[in-house]
Amino acid sequence: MKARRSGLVALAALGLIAVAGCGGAGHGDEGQGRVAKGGTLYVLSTLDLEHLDPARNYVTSSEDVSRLVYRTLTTYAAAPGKAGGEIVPDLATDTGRPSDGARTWTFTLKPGVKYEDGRPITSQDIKYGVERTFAAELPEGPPYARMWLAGGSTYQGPYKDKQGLASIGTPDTRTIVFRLDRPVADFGSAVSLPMFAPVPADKDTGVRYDSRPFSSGPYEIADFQPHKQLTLVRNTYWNPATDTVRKGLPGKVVIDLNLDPAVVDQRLIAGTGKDADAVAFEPIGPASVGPVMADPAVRKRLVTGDSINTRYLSINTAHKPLDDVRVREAIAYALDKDALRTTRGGPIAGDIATTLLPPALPGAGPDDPFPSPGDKGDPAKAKALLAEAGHSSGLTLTLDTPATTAGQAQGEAVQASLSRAGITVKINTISTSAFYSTVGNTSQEHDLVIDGWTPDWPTASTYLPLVFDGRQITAEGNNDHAQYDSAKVNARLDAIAAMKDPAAAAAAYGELAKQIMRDVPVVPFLWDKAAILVGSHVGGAYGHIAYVGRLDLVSLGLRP
Amino acid sequence: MILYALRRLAVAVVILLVICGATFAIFYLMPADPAQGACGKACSPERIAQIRTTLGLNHPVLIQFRDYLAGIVAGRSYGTGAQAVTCPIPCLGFSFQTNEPVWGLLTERLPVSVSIAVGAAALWLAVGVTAGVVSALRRGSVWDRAAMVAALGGVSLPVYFTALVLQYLLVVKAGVLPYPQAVALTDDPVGWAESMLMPWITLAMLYAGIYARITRGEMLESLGQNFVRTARAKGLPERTVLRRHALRPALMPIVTIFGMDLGALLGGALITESAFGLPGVGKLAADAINSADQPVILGVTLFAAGFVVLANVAVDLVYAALDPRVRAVG
Repeated sequence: MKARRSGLVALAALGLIAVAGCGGAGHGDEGQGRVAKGGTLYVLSTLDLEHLDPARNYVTSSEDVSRLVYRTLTTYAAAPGKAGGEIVPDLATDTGRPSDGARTWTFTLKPGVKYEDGRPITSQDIKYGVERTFAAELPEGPPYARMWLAGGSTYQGPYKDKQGLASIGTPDTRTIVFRLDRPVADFGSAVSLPMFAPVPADKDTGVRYDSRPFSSGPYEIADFQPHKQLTLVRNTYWNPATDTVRKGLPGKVVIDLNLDPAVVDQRLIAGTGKDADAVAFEPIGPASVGPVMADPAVRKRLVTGDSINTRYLSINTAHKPLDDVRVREAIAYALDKDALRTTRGGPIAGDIATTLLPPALPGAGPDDPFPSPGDKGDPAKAKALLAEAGHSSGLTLTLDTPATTAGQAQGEAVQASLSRAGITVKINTISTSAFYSTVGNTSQEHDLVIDGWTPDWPTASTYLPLVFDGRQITAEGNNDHAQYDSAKVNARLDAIAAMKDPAAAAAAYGELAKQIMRDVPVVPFLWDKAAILVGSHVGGAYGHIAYVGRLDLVSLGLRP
Repeated sequence: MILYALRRLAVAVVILLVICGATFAIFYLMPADPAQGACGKACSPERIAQIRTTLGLNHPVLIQFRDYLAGIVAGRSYGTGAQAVTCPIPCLGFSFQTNEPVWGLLTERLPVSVSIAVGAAALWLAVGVTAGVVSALRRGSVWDRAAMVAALGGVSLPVYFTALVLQYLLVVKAGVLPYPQAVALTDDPVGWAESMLMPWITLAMLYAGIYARITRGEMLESLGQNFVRTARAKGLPERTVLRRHALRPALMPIVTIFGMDLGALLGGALITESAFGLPGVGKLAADAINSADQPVILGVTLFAAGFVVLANVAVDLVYAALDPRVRAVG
């Protein structure tokens, strides 16, 4: 849930995303009349909202919520399944006009877009919002502006440098021009991130902006008690005619934070009183799968969404004998993926992953280089490969896993399946708060890591280059937990990054993913799905792939 | 007496200082790096260094500790220029997550924890002490055995289990209570009581059992004492014998553990608050630990320790008032 930063996976791997699902897209609109404007929608969240400040908002959960409050240059389509991955114009009139070989990107704001106090949204406000992400005081946001904008590597943010960043031009109040230091074919997708939301300079309260971002969307913040509750009310200046994505149906949205997962499941299974107007924010827990599936009335209120999160086992190729591809192949054959899925709730938790790219990503194609009957692993084949590599007497490896129930259960599933091939696995549990900084430290990481990745937007360009580019291995904060470094792959990543046609790039990433899989730096085992309970009065519910299958909050409404 | 009280308070301050130092040291050794956590993926070393400076993590640990202590008594400010934020006395630092003063986070949640602790304490004292006295008076009876088995059961049931069962029975099945919410006593007394009833019962079940067993033991002991025999021999009414001569000394140890239990609960009932989704101090601690929000963990630890230490001082003072011998020795 921590979804997007290295975290993305985080939540995932941490088991905080207790996933479940039964396939297919949402079906919340069946029967019982149509949704109408008005009413109060309740969202029951077991998570906290990490950051609402657009400069710091970089986890899928907060992004789902913030789409109610502020708009960005582009955004995801409001649709279930793969269609939700499409980037559509939001504040801008189109998804961006590249020039100079995709090194310069120009956007024009729609006329008539306004803030919560009625003033018009200007291109200068977008520029200021992006500049804020360079400030060390607001550190959590995505790195793309710092990586791509010309002069971005030295700019210190608007608090230290009042001159602003010259590579963002605002020739008039409705036009904004980004000059990049390299070609970026999917920059139009990048500007769907919260950091491309407008922030008026006179409303900037520094670190305190986090608790009261200024609204450009259908709702403004009426009250925010951190860790407890966020109350949103209608922004009367939001004009639906300028917004093709958000429906803005409920008059009020109340989001309760940090609730107990078992209690949320219990409340929504009962679904009485105000809870009929409520939805869960996170998928149901593994323990609730049985009771929900057994009761047809409750099961009808379960909405399942696809996710673009892939869970995998990282193999540290810097450690001997894991530098031998045959040993890694043996691990891939031995792994009982079905058992790993069972620890997360069984088939409702998602589909068995057979390769790197989840099917919802453009360019993904069928690929299963290490098949086994029923996905339960093939210990005989694994043993043969180990013998070939000279390890017929067995191996001992150490696995890093988060110290959560789900993390430990997954660790034990890996341990049990690899032991069938003669590999002894020692489990090293790491507290959730230290997990990513530990496995991201090349001297502290062990042989195997329970791992995963969620791309920042639904393309492979924020997945493969961030996880498998060997030149990006750093001693601390490393994402390439396999420490995989292939000159051929690195060169190919550069070539694809320079492609100007997103469709050609997607196809090339698909081919490259297959090539990387042959080197087995990681063994993918699960493509998540999310199964989320909604109250009986709630309509318009479907899981959105960009929010790892969480409900697309902007489409929800209540039946009168 | 005043000198005694001052002495006790001075010791309390020293204890808090030691706790503060120990907690600070533990977090300094923790593997989680807040700057790294904040920086996320594709983080450059320069960026991490900038963030460390902003969070004040670039100073040596002793300087950080000194600044922290100074903040408690004098307040401090973070950052420079227009972005500076001030943290008023008593400054327990800023949350890495929300950038709010930790003191504000704590005091905002305190009413919930106090509501839970005080209500539960009243309930378990009434039930536990009564059951213990009655058991002692009817030693060996069916009542005695039933009460002591029930007490054992109450002590053994995990809070988490009791909480979920209560919610299932009272809210989902019977529908007589709402799901607990943080309702202020002053806003809606009925809603407050309805929300707090299940947490009270949950905690009271745990503590009442312990109190009943201790009361029973102490009561039996004092009933066997010579002064009780003397009182009876003097022809005092049985009621007076029990109340004034047997129960009073039996309650002294109860006062001691009650002070500590209540003090500890005021610092947050972590599991109870989490199980009922009530945003008290304990829930704040649980969430802060999950997100490695070091200043908040440190703040809650000090805050909770403060309550326990203060409760102990209060118990000592009550003792001293009751029994002059304590003052002389203390």
